Amino acid sequence: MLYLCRVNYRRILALVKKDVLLEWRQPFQSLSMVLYLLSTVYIVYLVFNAIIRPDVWVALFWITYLFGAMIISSRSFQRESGGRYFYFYTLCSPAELMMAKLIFNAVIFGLLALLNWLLFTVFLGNVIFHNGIFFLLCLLAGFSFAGVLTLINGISVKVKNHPALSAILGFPLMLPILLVLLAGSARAMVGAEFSETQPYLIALGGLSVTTFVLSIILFPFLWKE
Amino acid sequence: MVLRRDWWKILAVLLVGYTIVAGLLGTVPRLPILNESIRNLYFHVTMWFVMLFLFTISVSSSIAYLSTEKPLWDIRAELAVKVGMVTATLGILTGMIWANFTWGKPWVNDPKLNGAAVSFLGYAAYLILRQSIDDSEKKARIAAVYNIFAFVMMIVFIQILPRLTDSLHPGSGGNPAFSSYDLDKNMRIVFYPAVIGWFLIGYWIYTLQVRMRLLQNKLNQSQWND
Repeated sequence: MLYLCRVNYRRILALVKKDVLLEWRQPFQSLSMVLYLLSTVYIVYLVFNAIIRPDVWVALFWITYLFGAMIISSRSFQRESGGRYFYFYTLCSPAELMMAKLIFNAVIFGLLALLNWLLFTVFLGNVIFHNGIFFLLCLLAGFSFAGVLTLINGISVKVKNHPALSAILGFPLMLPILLVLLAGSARAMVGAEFSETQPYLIALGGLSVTTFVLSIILFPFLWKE
Repeated sequence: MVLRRDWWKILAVLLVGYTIVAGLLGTVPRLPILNESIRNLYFHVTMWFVMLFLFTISVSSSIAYLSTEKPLWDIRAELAVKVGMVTATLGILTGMIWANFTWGKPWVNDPKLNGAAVSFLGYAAYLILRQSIDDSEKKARIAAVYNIFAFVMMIVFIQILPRLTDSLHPGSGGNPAFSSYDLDKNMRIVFYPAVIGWFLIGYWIYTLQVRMRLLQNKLNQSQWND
């Protein structure tokens, strides 16, 4: 536990900044993500456009998002693997690296959910009644998915990044989050009172905090040869 | 001497034997819908208890492994999961047979069943993860990390979700459950011994597995030396 006291917050910021800069200079990865969402939503639009109902909309929204997050998370530690791993090992502690990755992924996943929402609105219309609550749900989805997927990707990078493995490891752990998201957004959709959606928001917040803390505690054991 | 060391094994056999006889022949309250299927309490519910008990052993062994790096803890963690998976499979099968008669279909969308699915899938993934790493030290470390993560998520899931949604399962949403048969003396005198008996049987199988693995390792080593 002692290593948590030695965390240098400026180093974390520098790591996040590095990721953002790399994203800016080599935007093909974020662009491929946008393209993934665009083509998936378009397929959803073609297949479901005549038979879409609000509850189907919500289900499809989170399924699209689940797979998108799964794909985008597979590159979390791509730049830190191989020979560069040793370089990063001398630069910062594993807890710092994990915190930086969690912050970066949470923001990216949150943006992904919002983009998904935008695309769904354009093609299939917005079925959500309480937009504010759904916005909060999207942000919290980003946080809780980042908490699970970042560590899972850390594991699958260590196991030579077998693509099916991170899905096998990740899906059982994302199922609770997905169920809470579905129930919460079903209530935001029909326009239930805020007090009715509140338990789901709190549950998501609790899940995010749990996964963040666990990831930061467990990652140092993963990040050594 | 055998009695002093192995009394709990004899107790386990006696208790489980008693559970099978008294569980199938004893008197049970006549509740609507449940009827005789209420006897499943002694076999289905206890299987989940044993599974949670073994997974708890496994996760504490994983924590011990990460702090000490002794291979024995890793062997314990792995075998506790393997035995736990057997009881989980039995728990799912007994539950499905029961649900088929009581609810009309073997699987329904229900928080308790989703919790069962999550723990089953998560620990199956744990075993797959172990298979996919060759280096034994690395395997132990990575598997321990996943084990702790999955266990905490499973506990959170079992604790949080049933409170948020209604459940068909006995014990939630106003369905009759053990708490409502608590007054029934006839069931309590079978259920409590059943829990203890199955716990001991589960633990016994687990210790046997650990001993077998250690002997196998010793055998492999001696062959290597010859």
